[in-house]
Amino acid sequence: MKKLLLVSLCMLCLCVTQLYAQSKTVTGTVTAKDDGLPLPGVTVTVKGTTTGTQTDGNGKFSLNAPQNGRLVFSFIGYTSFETAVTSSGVVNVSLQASSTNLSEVVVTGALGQTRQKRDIGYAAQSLNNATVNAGNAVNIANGLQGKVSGLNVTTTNGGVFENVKINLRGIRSLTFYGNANFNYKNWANIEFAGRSEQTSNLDLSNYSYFYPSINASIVLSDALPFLKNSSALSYLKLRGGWNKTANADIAPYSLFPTFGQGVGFPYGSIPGYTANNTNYDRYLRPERITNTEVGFEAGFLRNRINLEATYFHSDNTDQIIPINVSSATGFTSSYLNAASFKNKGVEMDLGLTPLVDIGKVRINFRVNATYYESEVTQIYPGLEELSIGGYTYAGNFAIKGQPAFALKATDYVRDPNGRVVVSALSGAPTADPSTKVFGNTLPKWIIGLSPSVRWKGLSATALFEYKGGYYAYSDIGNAMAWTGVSELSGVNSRERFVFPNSSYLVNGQYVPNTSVTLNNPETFFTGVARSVASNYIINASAWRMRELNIGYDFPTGLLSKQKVIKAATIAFTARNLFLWVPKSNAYGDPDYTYSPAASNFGTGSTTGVTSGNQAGISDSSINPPTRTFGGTLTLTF
Amino acid sequence: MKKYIYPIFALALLTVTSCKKDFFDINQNPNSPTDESVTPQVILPRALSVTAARIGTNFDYAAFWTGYWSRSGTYGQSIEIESYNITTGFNSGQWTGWYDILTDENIMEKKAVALNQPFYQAAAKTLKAIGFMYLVDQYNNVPYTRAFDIQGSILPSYDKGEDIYADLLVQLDAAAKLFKGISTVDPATQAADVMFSGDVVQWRKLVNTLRLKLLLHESQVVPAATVTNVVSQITADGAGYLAAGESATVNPGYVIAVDQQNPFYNTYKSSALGVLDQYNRANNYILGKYAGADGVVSQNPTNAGDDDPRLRYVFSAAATPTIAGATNYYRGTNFGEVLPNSDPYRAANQSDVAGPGLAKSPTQDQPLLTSIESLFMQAEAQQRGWIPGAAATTYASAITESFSYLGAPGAAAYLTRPGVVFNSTINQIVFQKYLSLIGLDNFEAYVDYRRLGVPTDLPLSANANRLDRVIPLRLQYPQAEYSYNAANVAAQGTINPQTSAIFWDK
Repeated sequence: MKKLLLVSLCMLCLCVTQLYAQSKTVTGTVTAKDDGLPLPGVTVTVKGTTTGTQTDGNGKFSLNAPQNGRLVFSFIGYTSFETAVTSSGVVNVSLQASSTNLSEVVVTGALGQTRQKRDIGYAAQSLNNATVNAGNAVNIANGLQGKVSGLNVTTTNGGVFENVKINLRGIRSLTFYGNANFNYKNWANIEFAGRSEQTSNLDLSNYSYFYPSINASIVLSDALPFLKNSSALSYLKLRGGWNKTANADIAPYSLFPTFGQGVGFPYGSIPGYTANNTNYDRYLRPERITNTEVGFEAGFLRNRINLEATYFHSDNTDQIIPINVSSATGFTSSYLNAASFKNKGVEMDLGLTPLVDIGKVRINFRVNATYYESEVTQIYPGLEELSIGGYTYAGNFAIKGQPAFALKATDYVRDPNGRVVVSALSGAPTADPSTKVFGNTLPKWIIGLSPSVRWKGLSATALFEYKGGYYAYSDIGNAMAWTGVSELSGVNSRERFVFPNSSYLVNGQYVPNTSVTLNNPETFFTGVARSVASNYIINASAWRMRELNIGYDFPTGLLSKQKVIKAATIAFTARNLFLWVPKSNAYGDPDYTYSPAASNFGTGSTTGVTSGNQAGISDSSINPPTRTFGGTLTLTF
Repeated sequence: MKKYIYPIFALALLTVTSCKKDFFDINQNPNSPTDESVTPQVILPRALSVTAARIGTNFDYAAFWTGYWSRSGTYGQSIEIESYNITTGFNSGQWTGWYDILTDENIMEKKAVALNQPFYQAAAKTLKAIGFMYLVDQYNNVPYTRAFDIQGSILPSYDKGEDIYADLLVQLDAAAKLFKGISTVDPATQAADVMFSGDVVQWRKLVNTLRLKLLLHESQVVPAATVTNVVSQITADGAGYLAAGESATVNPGYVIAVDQQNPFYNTYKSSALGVLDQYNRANNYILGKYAGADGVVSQNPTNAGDDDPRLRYVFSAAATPTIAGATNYYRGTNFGEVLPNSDPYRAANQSDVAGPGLAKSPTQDQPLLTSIESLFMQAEAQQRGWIPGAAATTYASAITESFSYLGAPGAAAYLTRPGVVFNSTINQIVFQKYLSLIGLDNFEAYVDYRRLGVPTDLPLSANANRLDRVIPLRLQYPQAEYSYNAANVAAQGTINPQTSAIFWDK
């Protein structure tokens, strides 16, 4: 056994070192120049590669680098430092605190690299700690709600710990960036990246994929002489990017259908296996996403007005989706490269800092807005539409030519004029089991408004958020019809009524129903009304006051009499204060979707975040939204 | 130790150079068997026990609609089942449940062919015929030829019920021939066959009885030539039908434990944790049919009087029989009636449906097809002139077999009662079959009622929401088909359970 262990240990070592055959191990300590103390968390990368590490708690690092390579040390708030690998393999560095404004430094998606925002050819937004934490949200994802254009954060369940689902630009998170950089005179920048990955999750015929990217930016306000020193247009940057990414974010062992013991089995030594209900595709391919975007960033009046806009277009092909299928296939769901989507939109950010500045009163205003639309371009061969999540009678479908996440649901049997057909005998309608499209469940518009005002030590910041142009299904309506407690089931004080806009058949003709009353409302609301899922579809548009933060900085004069406390701030914070919804929405906050981790469409759930393929489907088991109030007292010693 | 390290190091180096593509070939889950590792032998035990369990415990709706069972006053009304206004959600588990087990049987058949295991191939054909029969009898047209092929037919089209029936008869003949060609069955297969322990003659009798069952289901529409052809195939096989004492029953090794009890006992008597069934109770209609000439059920605890003795074996005496001085051991309710949850309508005041003749023990065998049903079917086929033999004799044997299965005394005396003495009508055979199959094959009563209208005086639900509806002729296709296989289910037209009949229901 011991020998085996040794062998495997050797193998592991070799597998790793083989990658750096021409390299050596470099170690060292990074300290801060101003106080000489070690700096933890400094990013150390080998220039021109994606190899990198971070310093530990004692400022120490160790990594493998080519003998003739150069190391780049970067850390937020400090000037990046570059140096060659020494022959001794020991590199000790001290970093100079930077005068760069924090808001211009961006942590990019991959590798934690810090970059100057002006150099980046793609839309990137930076938020400082204070902005994210303004409302004391319980987790960072909720703290981002309404503050980043293109980001749709949906709370999947309320309660103390809000689980969230994140959609960036509609369908997929940007799961990836790697880069190499050329810069000309600090105003033109171009980056290329190419990366090859292998995944053990896929079959050997598909396990390797390559993805390239290119993005470029030009700071016109520096490049064009006549714009230099212009006070009206203080900053103008154009940027564009193209990249191709691929991923196979699937659970291990998702290539072969499996068998399991049936309930009760084994009986003694007698096994009883049954085919599990999910089909897998041995030759599943990685999903591919091609992204194109162009945009500009402009600052006017000495950056008092900042405007950014980005147009993006992405082709998402071979998306891996578990779809629902007829059980006559032998399975109830199938894990496939099921569909391709096209996704495009515009993201806009406007900052007015300050909007008003009359000496002691300073009012800032920030707006971000996203509009996007999607279209299903391709479907698994032989299919016109796919059920990708939700309930059987009300769920999300991918339908060729329609927006992704179409909501299909059952409806009443209707006559050619759209009237609900009722029985001439009972006055009761019937359910039509064929499902129809009732809209899409991802918002077309997401808007965030953030005004803030400051007067002397007193400040107030609010965040309003709007999502619109989408629909949701609230299964709680079904549950409330069953128990007879909804507005719907209380119609006409629970007495008999003529079903609105209905007709019945007389001698082959549909005649308007004005007199036949529904014979038994209780039977209707506990029966047909629940089979008709369209009853519980709502317009999910909503305005909300997401956050409010009122703070007061104690005047320094007040504190000057003692030497212990240097600064004191007291703040009141609140989240989810108000919600405005259309009248048709009788069920509450449409921002709450439902994606149980155990369901076959809620796969891929990680801590606190569910990224299922289901959107805009809720039921009665999710907790109501939480409104939180808090206060903070900050003392600086 | 040290001296070993260098050779090991060199070895590791060699291994690493080959540590390439197959390093990533790790997609076979060691904890879940895949198609490659599964054999027919590990599929058969569950296929048999689930089939028997479904037949024995999944047809409450048939028992309610055909006057066998009713709901106790302990529960409120179930409007959907009691108003006959069934939706796409009603009993949708029939579709998924049967297709689930049929999927396994289909895999078993394919594997058996590949491994040249005729026993499992024949068993798969037999069990598939049972599953598809139950699907057709509830849904008429269902996916058959294009089922179980997700690569080729992710949207399986539907086959006509009559075509499926015709092919099932072909498959059953193939099964009979395969079984007939088997001379020895290995011990592992005997252990896996939790029904007949590898006795291929019994399997052939089951196959022949199933063929007769299919013919009788389509008795009102089947061409005479089909009958002649199938009967000649049965005769050619030569094993005959399941005879007295030869019920096809399944027992994988039931024990008193959660999920491992006999399914009928577990569902209608008591769970392994001692939870009693409080919902299903005797239906007043069948109590009246079991009552003697006086039309009243005897409440004498030791003397059934002129009642059909079997009453006290298919139903239990009430747990709390005495209410306000009056003692009623055998009491039921009318189906669809709105009842208060108070004496004498509470579950404890009424007779449960797992009487001592049906729920004998939590570890008893679970019937899949009883000798009782086999004998009644033979009697009907004889009366129709399809097969040779005296219907009167077989009819009497069938009733005697029913008494015998339940452990009830007095079969001979019962046979001499007016109305029981054979009158040479199919209706009488089928009515006695109705009285005998309660709790054993509830669904068959629903089939017989639809094809022949027996029992002729079956009352409709007392539920006020029934309006003009009658006992449904079929189930709605499940909502999942309308949502996930929309075009193919739409091709079946609008389904109205009040008017859309199964092909054999004329």
